[in-house]
Amino acid sequence: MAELAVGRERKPGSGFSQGLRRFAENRAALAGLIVLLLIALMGFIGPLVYPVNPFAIVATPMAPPGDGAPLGADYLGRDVLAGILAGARVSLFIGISATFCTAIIGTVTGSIAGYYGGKADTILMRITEFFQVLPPLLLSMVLVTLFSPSVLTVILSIGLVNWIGTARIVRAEFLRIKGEGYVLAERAMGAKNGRIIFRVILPSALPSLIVVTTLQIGIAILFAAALSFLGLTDPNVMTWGLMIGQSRPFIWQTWWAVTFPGIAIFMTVLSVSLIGDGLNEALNPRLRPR
Amino acid sequence: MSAGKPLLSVRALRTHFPVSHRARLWAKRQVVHAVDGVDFDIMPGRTLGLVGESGSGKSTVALSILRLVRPTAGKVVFDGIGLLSLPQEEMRRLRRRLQIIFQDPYSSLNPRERVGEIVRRPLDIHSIGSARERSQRVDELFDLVGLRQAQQDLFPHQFSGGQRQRIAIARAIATFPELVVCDEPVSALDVAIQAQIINLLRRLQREFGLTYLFISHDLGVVREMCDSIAVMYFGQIVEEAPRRDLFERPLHPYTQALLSAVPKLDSDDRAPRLVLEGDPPNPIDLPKGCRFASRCPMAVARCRSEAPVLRRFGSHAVACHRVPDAEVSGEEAREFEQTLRGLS
Amino acid sequence: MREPHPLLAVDDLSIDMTVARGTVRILDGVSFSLASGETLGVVGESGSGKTMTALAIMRLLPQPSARLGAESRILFSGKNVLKLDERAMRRLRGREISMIFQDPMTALNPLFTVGEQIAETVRWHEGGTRAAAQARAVDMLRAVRIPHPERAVRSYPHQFSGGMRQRATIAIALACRPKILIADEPTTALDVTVQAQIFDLLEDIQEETGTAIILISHNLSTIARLTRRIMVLYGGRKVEEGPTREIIRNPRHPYTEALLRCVPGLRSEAEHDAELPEIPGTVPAPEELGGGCPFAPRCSHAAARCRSTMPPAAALGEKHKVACWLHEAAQSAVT
Repeated sequence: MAELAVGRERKPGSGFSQGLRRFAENRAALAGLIVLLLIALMGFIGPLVYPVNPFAIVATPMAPPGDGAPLGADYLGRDVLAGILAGARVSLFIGISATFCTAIIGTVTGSIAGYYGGKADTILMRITEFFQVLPPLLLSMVLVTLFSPSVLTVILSIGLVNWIGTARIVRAEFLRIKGEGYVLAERAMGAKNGRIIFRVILPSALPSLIVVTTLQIGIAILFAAALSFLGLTDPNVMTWGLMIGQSRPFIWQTWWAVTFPGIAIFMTVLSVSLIGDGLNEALNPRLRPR
Repeated sequence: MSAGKPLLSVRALRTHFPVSHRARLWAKRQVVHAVDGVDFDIMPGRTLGLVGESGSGKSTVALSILRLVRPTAGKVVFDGIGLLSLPQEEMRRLRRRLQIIFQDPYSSLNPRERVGEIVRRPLDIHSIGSARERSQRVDELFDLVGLRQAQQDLFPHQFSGGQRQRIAIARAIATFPELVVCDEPVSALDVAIQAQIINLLRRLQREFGLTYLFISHDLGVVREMCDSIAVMYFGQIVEEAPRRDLFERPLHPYTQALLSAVPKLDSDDRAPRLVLEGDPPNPIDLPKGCRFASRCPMAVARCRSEAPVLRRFGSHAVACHRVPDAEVSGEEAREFEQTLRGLS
Repeated sequence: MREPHPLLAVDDLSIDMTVARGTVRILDGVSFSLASGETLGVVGESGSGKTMTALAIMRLLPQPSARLGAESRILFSGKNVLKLDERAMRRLRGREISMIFQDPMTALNPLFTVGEQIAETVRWHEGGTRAAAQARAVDMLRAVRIPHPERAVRSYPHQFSGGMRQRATIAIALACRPKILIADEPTTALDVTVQAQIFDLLEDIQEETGTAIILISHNLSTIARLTRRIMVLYGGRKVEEGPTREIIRNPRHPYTEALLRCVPGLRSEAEHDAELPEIPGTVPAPEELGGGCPFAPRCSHAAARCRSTMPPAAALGEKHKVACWLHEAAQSAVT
């Protein structure tokens, strides 16, 4: 029984500060964070340092890298580097905003289903399953087509098809935490449901929510790229997907116009995934070594 | 305090749970009869012990009374108020008068909150007093349960099991409740700590006139805490009596078995003990006779075919076919006769 | 030491544990011996070091945070267990020394039948055919009084009640007829009537097989009936050791005395309204221990010397030993 007394000493002071320390010790996650920060910096400061309009024809069409444009020009003579810098901001904006939507829809659905259970749970879970069986990319394509392509419709359509994972995880966390003695104690004290949901259960579910939300950002960025690759985006906003999509017929002549935006998408999604995995390891108590 | 109306009356309480998984798709939905017709009263300022082993339904009784699980049928009357038909919001407000202490002090305290906040919580929920008065009350509660006021800023994991249970007790008595349900409050603690918590609960009862429903599987603990004791077996009360009666003259064979299983200190005690053989019944498919018959050393044919009812002789009640009316002590028999005469 | 080699001799066992703020000594110089066929009770609260003592004998201390003191020796039939390599140790565990825990569910694998788990233990240690091992499994379940053993071998742990599970873990622990069974709070998680059954079972098994038992509990009264000899640990130190009957009738260490008096439910009706005797305060955390007697901060007899110097063990009779300055006179009389 001595381990109890000793274990008392080793327990963390606060979950989050301990989690952050564990995160900082994770090299892959830290590398992801640095890359993502660089991409964000590129998106916001890049256009100031390299003030070239991504839509302007500034070089010879199909100019290879170095020849008038650092990363080459596409079939119209538009600067690829300018496109990547402009696209970084848009990609991150769409990724984060769409994830914000999924987090809100998912948390509301998941917490109501998990906390109240019974009929509310059954109805909400049937709706979730309905969304789950539809191919998400197809659904968001339909939504964007229906409501004319713009940044806003892209964000909403991605948000609307991707909340299922968040909802399921939040529901599972609510079911687990609802069974804890301290939640029963709150009910016995006469706490209102709203209080129990927002001030007791949600804070305990937060680590999982943060992890799943981070991973969702990567998915949302991929979705945005896919939609704009298919031309389902605002044609007046330069994105990486749009660049790849438009240069696709000329891939053999202008490999740089497809490859560099492709690398940009890959690096962004990879760094977000590394951060997500790092957060999961740092915050998820079930993965933590004892 | 002695005569008068009970603070809590429970009548014909039943709580049945559906068994969640069905073996076959069209199989009949099965239910567990966790609590199956329980009656008792608790007088103000007294302690009733509810004793039984796992599966007896004693904890479900506690949760049902407080409406933390939904009873299937029955009546629970607290200070003249029928709790089971009370609208949700009124029940919520009434909770300041009915509190509970849980068995596991490790899970019943939110690990993310400082213990000062935990103890203050019921005062916040029921908006009792000003912010200053609440802090003063929390200080006072920490003194009452034997913790230092300076410890309010610590988190639950920084305390030992016994100290955590003190925190849970402080939280339970914060709103000056009248009834405190104690669900195995010392079972998770070492003996040396059990004594401290028992003394604390008894002192608080004396000081504030608390009424306890004390649930435990440990007869030794119940003996220290309770004025009267009800023994439960598979959802029903099989015997109820004042403490001294129950310990000195247990009537039900199950109570006798429980008492003889209590460890005695004297290692020379080789007195024949009543050790139960056989298996307890399946809670989904209970026998139609006495539920204890499968393990009872005294069972006869009638026990297997006909369920015994709780017969009351004065203050002692027992549900067993094998206990003849003559078993009842002279004094109680007289009382019983007087009651009969009064009726005729 | 009466015989040349007691079955088990633990000599000057000390354990240091690494915690956030450095190293603390959680067990300090504990010595005891166990003869074959004997039952020794080890009594102590959380943090007394009783579980760590058991884990040290099994060589299952948490690694790398726990370290044994340099002088520590654990002799099993004269061999120092602490010097064995991991392979030899694996052969010793389960076959010569077995252990059962408070929560039977942690010791059982939910994915295998009870029979498979017993048979696996038998085949790992003794080889033999599958059929022979299976037959042994049935025998073992019968030995621990599980009804319908032929059917029960094919059951999964979740199909058993708590008491049945603990019987099953005892069956696994005893499958290879070990010489020592260490039972750490084996009945704490069980109902009283089941608890009595398990203790009866352990007693019967000991009579049949002669297995020596180390019975660990926080409650002296629960293990009093089963043991002949008891050792009381407090704050990582052995404070008293002696025949059970003598310790219960005449406890000499203030801690043992207090521990006996605070057991709920043993008082007469006449005493009911008085406070239950209690030990004030809490068990000290290992890092709070100084050089003195660990019980001194809670002891009503404590003097200045108790807080500064750990009292040596004094012999109060042939077998009764106590580590307390109150019995210094006895100490000098012996040496």
